[in-house]
Amino acid sequence: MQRKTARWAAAGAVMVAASITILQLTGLWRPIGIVLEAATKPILKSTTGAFRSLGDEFQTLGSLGSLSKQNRQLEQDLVVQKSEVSRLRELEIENRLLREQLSFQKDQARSLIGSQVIGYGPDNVRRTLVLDRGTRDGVAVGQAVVSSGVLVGRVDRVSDQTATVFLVSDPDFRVQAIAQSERARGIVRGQLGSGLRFEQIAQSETVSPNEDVLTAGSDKIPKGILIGKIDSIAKSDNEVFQAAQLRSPLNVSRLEIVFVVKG
Amino acid sequence: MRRTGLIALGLALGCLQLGLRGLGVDWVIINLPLVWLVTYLNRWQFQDLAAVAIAAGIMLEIGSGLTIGTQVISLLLIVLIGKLTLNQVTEGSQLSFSLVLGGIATVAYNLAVDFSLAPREVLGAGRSIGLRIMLEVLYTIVSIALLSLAVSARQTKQGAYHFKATSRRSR
Repeated sequence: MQRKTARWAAAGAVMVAASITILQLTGLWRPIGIVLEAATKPILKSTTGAFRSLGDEFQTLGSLGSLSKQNRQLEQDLVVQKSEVSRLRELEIENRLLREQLSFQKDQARSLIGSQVIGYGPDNVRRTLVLDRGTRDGVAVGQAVVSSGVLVGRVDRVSDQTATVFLVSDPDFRVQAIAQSERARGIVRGQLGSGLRFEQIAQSETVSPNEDVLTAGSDKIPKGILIGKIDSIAKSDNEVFQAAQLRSPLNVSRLEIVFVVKG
Repeated sequence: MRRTGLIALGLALGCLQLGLRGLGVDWVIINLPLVWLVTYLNRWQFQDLAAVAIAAGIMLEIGSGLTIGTQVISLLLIVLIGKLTLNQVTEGSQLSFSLVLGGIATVAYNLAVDFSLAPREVLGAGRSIGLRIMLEVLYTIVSIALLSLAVSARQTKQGAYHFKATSRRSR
């Protein structure tokens, strides 16, 4: 009798799992998903927040020894940055004047949707983020996500109140890119466990270490968003293309606020 | 009422898993729902475990980059296979069974996720994948062992308290 009940329970559970999957695939899951998201979003937000604070505490404890050294370095950097800012301000004014004289159209300001990171990918392979904005806030699949002007990833899945973002470091991520100074074009993709790779760069192009790599503009990802800096270059005469290893200035596990680029 | 509690537990486990990287861990994180399900495999009934697995799976789907349904089905499969094989295990070897099952489930889950990627990616990062899986298996085994010990200690304590209360009442 007990074995029969267990069999029915097993069949029932499998049926439930299959139904949920079918409902999700057909989109019929949406009303249930809305209720579920509304109920769990605050919990998810506070859980992630609590873990983040705990992580910060650990990090502070671990870096106590190097804090004064780091502080001195930052003070020096600040002086350099201040002079750089004033130089750039001058350039901006000069640029505006020149544009006015040449009657250039002003660049359209990017429309951004501010969003909080409320969760991360549950496994060790795929690199994803969960944002607290969804279709009702204007988020759509394919839009770029940035933080401090650096590309974080691309929206992969959107529901009513949340969005799942594929990070640039995810192995399935691809974006057309361009090296800033030498203008070499290629594709940036995430690599399993080893950062970003700038590849399919023609052998005739020149790329150099520490050069910034930006988005080249494709589909819903606008042109000119910083992806990372070139770390090392892999060039061989036997290959059709050359490639470079990139390093992103972002620490994804420490991201709290990001922006979805609307268009 | 009990079922609602189980669903809430599953959702909470899912939330914890999705927030885990907030600790600042960039490489390997533990699979909390898997650890919980394997630990409670010999203590709870299939229906209860399935309710937790489905709720946790639904929650994980929100942050997962995998095909829809993968999380729910994989957690449910762990419970199903675990319960089926548990019948063959003797009373004394249940902890070792849990540890082995936890290890195998972690490897299987990781391989399933890895093979959702292009073969070129997987081959290119073979060493990194192997290392990562080994580390996660270690985390899983240690966590199951610690959680099992904690649960057993709590049950023993509760049993002793119950025994004391009933013997006092019978006197």
